[in-house]
Amino acid sequence: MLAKDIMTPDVVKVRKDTPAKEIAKLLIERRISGVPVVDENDCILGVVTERDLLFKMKEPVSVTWVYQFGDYLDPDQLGEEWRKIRGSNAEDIMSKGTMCLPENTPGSKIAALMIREGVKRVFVVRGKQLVGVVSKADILRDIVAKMGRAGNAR
Amino acid sequence: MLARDIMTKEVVTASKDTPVVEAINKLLKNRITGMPVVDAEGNLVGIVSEADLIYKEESILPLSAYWMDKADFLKACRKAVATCVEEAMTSRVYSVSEEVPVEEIATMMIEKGIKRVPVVRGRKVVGIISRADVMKAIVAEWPEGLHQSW
Repeated sequence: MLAKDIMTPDVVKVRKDTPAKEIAKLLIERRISGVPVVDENDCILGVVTERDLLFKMKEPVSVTWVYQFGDYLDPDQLGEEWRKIRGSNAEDIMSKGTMCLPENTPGSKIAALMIREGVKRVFVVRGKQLVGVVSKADILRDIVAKMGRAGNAR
Repeated sequence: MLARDIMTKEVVTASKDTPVVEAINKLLKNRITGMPVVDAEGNLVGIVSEADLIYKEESILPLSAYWMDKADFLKACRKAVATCVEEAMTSRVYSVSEEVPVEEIATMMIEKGIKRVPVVRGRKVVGIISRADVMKAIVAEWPEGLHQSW
């Protein structure tokens, strides 16, 4: 099975200026774990996931802690954390480096990529345009369908 | 706010001998991404999630062999050939008690990269907290100026 056969074509998406709180509500309502942030041409700019929103409830790194262990902390990572804690819209809190694949990518390759990259979903693109999303649940549906067929063949 | 205030009390669980296909169908039917594995007394013995089960996708092993180290590859092999939950599950599980504050759980989820935490009394599973449950708490008391103030 290829990406285009197992993907969900109508992707829930947000824009750069969508407020973070609206995104949190959207994820809860639609029972999804992440949404792509797209521009007016449906090109992906990044993704906002549950993880990005959890920073709103994360125990902040205390000032004394930074003072004591500052030498061992990664400034880039701290900057990233700061951005997600304080950010109020999609652009502020989104993660970049989104995994995008063409429509003819085989399911097995998608599963392997999810494991390697530690992502829960990959986006399917035609050229630069977003056309679908493949979640781990879509992969599981593909697996049980194949198991069913193997069972019938026996 | 504490774990007990936001946890889901009706927990979907699997047992060690649940067949893999049944576990996958259970996740899909309940629209969840993972569930605790419990013994006959309801004690927590592991967790099985989408992440453990996608190894069942065909021909994943030859693809993985290119980039995995030996330990990861052996783990992948075990999960790829699993027929029951015991063989596919992750047995090292992070769990919390009912009195743990939500902030601590959010921090744990981010730092350990976990999507859900079973809530236990002793070893018995009494609830589960997903990332969505934490998000509901966040939306309810949206930190309009909480972190911005310091």
